[in-house]
Amino acid sequence: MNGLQELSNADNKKENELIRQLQEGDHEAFTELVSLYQQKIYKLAYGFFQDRDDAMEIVQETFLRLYEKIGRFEKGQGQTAFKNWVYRIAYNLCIDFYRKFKKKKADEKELYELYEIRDRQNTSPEDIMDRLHFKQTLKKSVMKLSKRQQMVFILKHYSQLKHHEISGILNISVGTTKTLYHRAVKSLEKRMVRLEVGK
Amino acid sequence: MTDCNRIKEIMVDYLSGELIESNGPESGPRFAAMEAHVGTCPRCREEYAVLKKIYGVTRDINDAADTSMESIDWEANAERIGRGVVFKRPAPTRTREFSFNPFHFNWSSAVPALAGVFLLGILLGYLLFYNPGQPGSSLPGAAAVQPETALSRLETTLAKRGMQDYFRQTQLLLTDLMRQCDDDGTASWSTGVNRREVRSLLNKNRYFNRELSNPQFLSTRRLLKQIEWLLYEMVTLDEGDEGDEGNEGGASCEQLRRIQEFIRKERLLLKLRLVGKDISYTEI
Repeated sequence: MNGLQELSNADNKKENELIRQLQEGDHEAFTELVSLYQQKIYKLAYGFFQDRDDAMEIVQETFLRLYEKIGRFEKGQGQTAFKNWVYRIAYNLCIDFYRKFKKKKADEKELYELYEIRDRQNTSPEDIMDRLHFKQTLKKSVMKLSKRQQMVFILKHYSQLKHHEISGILNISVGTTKTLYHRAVKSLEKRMVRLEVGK
Repeated sequence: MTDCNRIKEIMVDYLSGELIESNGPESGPRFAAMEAHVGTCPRCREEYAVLKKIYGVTRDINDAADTSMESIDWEANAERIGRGVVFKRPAPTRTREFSFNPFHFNWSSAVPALAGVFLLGILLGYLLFYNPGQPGSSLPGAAAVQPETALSRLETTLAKRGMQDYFRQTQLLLTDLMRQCDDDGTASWSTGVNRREVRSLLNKNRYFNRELSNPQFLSTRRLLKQIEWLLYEMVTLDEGDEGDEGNEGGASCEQLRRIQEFIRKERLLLKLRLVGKDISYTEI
């Protein structure tokens, strides 16, 4: 057994212990679990919304849901079961939040981004508009992918997970994850090529 | 065409870092083949440029996420979320079985309760349907007033009043806090006395925040989030010693000034006033 694997086993043991303590009502264990996962969830949510406040809201809501449902979580579903479960809660929240607020958010985001980009003096206005347009179209296109393709793309790009980790979260084989990822990128590329040509 | 499709797969592997990660003996020649093909095929060149742009934009988003993460105090955030659940314990999952047998029921003890409910019903009906503005309609249930409309109106009015009260109380609390440590550098902010009030406001804040899921209340939700953060800070203010600077057994001026700075910077008092007014004109 190599050093890295030993370390990972120790982490898993600690995590399982924290889950057990939380299920018995220990609040400190909850705070420790939040510390372990909050940044990972933030990155996932930031990829979705590209907004700090929204990402923080998802982080908070994810852990509130986790707290409510921890009694129903059963251990012994593999070493990464808890991690996969947390990611799934966060991902579903992102989807719900996006559906509820997408129109309002899109308008607001455009405004924020223009302010943000205006401050970067070394970029020409055409480049700014081009990049902004590309970014917004990409975001919309990602939301139009099938649910599984979308999830693989977001977990791969924004959570920077490996294919085997994504396969654990989605409960599919690594091969399927790779196929879904390739299809997602191809589909996005097709949409974006159309956009570039149509300019 | 088959060649183009194969090359596209290599492009994705290359750009997503899979080719570099695998670093196997085939990764070099595969990349070389892709480069050669892209050099000669204009369609693939165009697609490669778009793919590169997609990966560039997602990398930018990741960089922005990393930058924004640096400004967050993660330890404090975890503690805040941890404290948050103390106010919101999960509902007990067990349900009690209920059985009712009218033949074995002790009706004598239930009669006063039923009479009370009956009288309460009459009183509620009177309050809801009595309309003194209409001549000759002093009778309950005047035709102009529909029960459903009256009920929803009552509910809306109560919800609005509840929110307005909440904003007024928060405004008073913050105004009181802003007056601390001003000219003479003394604070009369008693942490123990105010903590109960802050906790009650926190509970209300969490409730309203959950209820306002409609997109039109986005700014109100944002304001509630800022206030929530502030209230958590106020709950955790130290008790302090009497020997501290400008302290009479309450929080220190240093702590209070930090919170005052936040209130000033975010213009919370002004926002509270505006949102409070907004609510009174909004159709919920």
